[in-house]
Order: sequence, then C-alpha cells, then structure tokens
Amino acid sequence: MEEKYIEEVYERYSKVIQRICYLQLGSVSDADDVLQETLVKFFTSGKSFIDEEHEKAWLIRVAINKCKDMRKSFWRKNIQPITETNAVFEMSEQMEVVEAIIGLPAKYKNVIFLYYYEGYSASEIATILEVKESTVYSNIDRARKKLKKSLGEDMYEETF
Amino acid sequence: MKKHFKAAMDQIEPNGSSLDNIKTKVREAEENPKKYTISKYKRVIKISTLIAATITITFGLGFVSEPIAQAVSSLPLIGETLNDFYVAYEEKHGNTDLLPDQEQIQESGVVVSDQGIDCEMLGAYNYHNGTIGVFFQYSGDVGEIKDYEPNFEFYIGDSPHNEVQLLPGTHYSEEEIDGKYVGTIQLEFEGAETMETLPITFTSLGGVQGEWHFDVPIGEDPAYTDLGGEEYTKGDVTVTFDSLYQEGDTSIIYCDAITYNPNNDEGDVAFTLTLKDDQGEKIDIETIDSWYNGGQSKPNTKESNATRYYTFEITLAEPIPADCEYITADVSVTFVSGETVTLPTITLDI
Repeated sequence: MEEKYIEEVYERYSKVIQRICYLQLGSVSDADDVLQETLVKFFTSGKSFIDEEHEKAWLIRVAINKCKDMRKSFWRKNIQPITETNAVFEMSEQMEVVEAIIGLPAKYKNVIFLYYYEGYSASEIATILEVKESTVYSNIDRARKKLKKSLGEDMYEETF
Repeated sequence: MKKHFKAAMDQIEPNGSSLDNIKTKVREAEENPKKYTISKYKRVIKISTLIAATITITFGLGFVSEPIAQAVSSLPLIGETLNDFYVAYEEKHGNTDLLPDQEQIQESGVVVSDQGIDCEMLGAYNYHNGTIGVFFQYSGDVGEIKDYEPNFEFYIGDSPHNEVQLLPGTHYSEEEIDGKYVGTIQLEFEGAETMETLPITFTSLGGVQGEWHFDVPIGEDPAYTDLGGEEYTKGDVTVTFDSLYQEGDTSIIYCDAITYNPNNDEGDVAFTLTLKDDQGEKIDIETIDSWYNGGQSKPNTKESNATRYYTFEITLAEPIPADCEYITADVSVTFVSGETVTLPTITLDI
C-alpha cells in the first residue's frame, strides 16, 4: 500500500475519529489508540465503499464500537487513569463544556458530536448509529436538557 | 466568535506519532497478513470446521479426542447460525469486537410462540462477570422489517413497571439468516454481575406486538476465578483482591485499594506488591495498570477528599500453573510523608 494513500486517508479522517473518541473516552491517549486501531482496520480489511460518505460513516461506526469495547471492561468504568493525559483548551469555558459533554452517557455524546460538530442530519445519524431517527431526536433533546442543567442557561447558549 | 463546543473540538488533534504508527502496523499487516486478518468470526468458522470434521471422525473411527469433544458439545445446535450471524455482523459493522467468542456462549434452545411468531432463545453469555448477552432468533408471521434498526423491543425484569435500567454499554443488532431473524442483545445494568437467571420479555418482534418471555440461565465467565473479595485492612489502607482472569497465555489479577490520607495534597501513594505461588516461587508481574477515583462524585468534604479509591489490573508475565492451589500477596503502601504500611501476607485460593 502506498504511503501517500495512507497519508491522504489519515488527513481526511483522523481528526474526526480522534475527536469523537476523545468525547467517548475522555483521554487523548486512549482516543489515539482507538484512532490507530480504526485506521489499521480500515487499511487491512479490504472493504470497498460506495463513496466517501459511506467510508466516513463506516469509520465512525467502527471507532465508536472500538470505544465501547475499550469502555466495556468492568474495571475501567467510572475511574480515571492516574497518568491521564487530558486535552488542554485555550479557554476555561471550553474545558467546562467538554467536561460536561464527556460526562454525558455515550449515546448522547455521539449524537451531540455528529449533529453539532459534523453537521449530520438526524436521519444520517440514525443510519450511522443504526438506531431509529426518533431515537436520535430524543437523545439530542435529552442531551440538551442535561447540558442546560449542568452548564446553566447562559453557558449553554454559548456552547452550540 | 466560535461557539465553545466547536472551538474546543477544533483544538483536539491526533498525536504526532499516530500516522507513523499506523504506517508501521499496516506494513506489518502486509508482511504478516495472518496476524491482522484472523478476526473473531474466522475463529468461529474454524470451530465450525472442527465440528464438521469431528462428526466425520466420530463415525469413521469411533472416538473423539477430548478438546474436540468439548468443541462439539459446546454449540452443536446453534454453531452454524452464529457463524452466519458473525459474518453478516462483520460486513455491517466492520468488526466483531463486541461479540463474544463462541466458547463463552451457553446454549439455550427454549422456544416461545405468540402472535404466529416463534422466538427461540439460542444462547447466552456472561462477559467479565458483569456484561450479559443473549442470542435469539424469530420467524413466522412477521410484519414490516426495516433495515438499519433492530426490529424488536424488550424489557429486562419481572414486568415493564419493574424494568431494569440499562447502562450506556448496552447494544443490539439483528441480521436475517436463511429467512429467520437472528438478534443479539448485550446488556449492562446494575446487578448484572450477580444475576444467575436473566428475565427478558420481548414485547415486539418483526413489527408485531406480543409477549415472548424467557428466563435465561446465565453462567459465570469461565475465564474468571473469584478471589473472594475479602477486605484486608491495616491502618489507613484497605486492599481487596477481586478476581483472577486466565485465558490462554493471559493472566490478570484485579484488585482494589482504599487509602486514607488527610494530607492528600502531598500527592499519590506508592504501592508495592509481591506475588508467590503455593511453592513459594515468585510470580513475575509484567505490568500494573492503575486508576483512582478521587471521589469526584462524593461530597466535597475533608474526609472524602482524604479517601482515595484505587483499582489495579495486574498482568502476570506467565500464566499461573494449573496445579497451583493458592497464591500469596504481600502488599505495602508508602505515603509521600514516608510512612509505610505493610499488610500481613494475604493468601488467595484459586
């Protein structure tokens, strides 16, 4: 496989994978591990795709599944690594927002990221996550309510 | 001005070495394809082949070796169905990482019929003694089947009113296999680790409302040995050995510790652990991963801030010998102040 192709794919998708994984795992290093696993899986699976959107959706789903796999270990629940490497943000408000989103249940984090950051529609998110469209809407709604409560109205208004 | 969420996300970048690591791993995969292409479903197919081969051997030679006999007896009824399911699942999801190995599945075979639909509980599994999963299939007078979503609804518990609250790790999937709909549900909920029978009721299958109730026996994950969970305390230190995980060449001990240190601003404490087998031989430790819950979710009091909860995942360099009946653990904890607490030797039956 040509290095140039690997670099192109990496350039195209690494950030979105890293970001969604960071929200899932709350750790830069864990997100980085999943990013690498996901792209290695992509390059070695030999899978073909209809178009770039199909390719991207597959990568996001694989990354989310790998995050679940990392999280599902009974022993990793609700505890933080001692040698944690968290992201550093320019403004304390940004850190507060990210921490609030990381604190949400996984299904809420996924829809928030895909809806507000990636700009997917609820229908597209339903296809990516393999859930009902109505579930996506209800999860967005519940996530908003939780964030309003944790961040407060003013901060929430500046969040999305 | 950018909104906070977008601005924050824009700042998260992959590690600079990620691309090089990916290139290296892809290169390794090209040079050693086996290492990267044996996915779980292929392992399942391998077992299936063994089953077929074994039947031939059984008829031809009249005997079957012990390991193969175990494979035959493990999933004689649902092996083929699961193989097909795993293949379809991988095609859709890109991997089968969330599905269990077949060896972990306990066959069931109970069928419940309602509204012209037969639902068969194929099997169940218990992963890490805390995540419960079931495989089932249904067929009959199904209604409209939609792609990209599970065409079933269910609740866990004795009634919809006493429904168990599922945790985010729960997920499900469904595939059509030879005209039947095969589904899997992996469940995470409080109390799953102590559950012996899973009460699950489907309220909708294939778009048809009805009631299909099962009490599914849940075995323990065979890879785990309970280490008792007894608390060993000395001074301000409490240690609990929870379980031993042994599968293939992997041996991991899970344990927890609680320390009380009113001067917690001084930093973390240092743990020292020595393990020996029942012959007094030292058991080498490869790595110790550790985490602490600093009590963020607890009241912000001096008392709670001084108490720290640690969890350790201790990976051994070699598996513990099969004939070893117990191991011993010597634990000492040194606080930043220099004070060291050494617990009496702990004996753990395995």
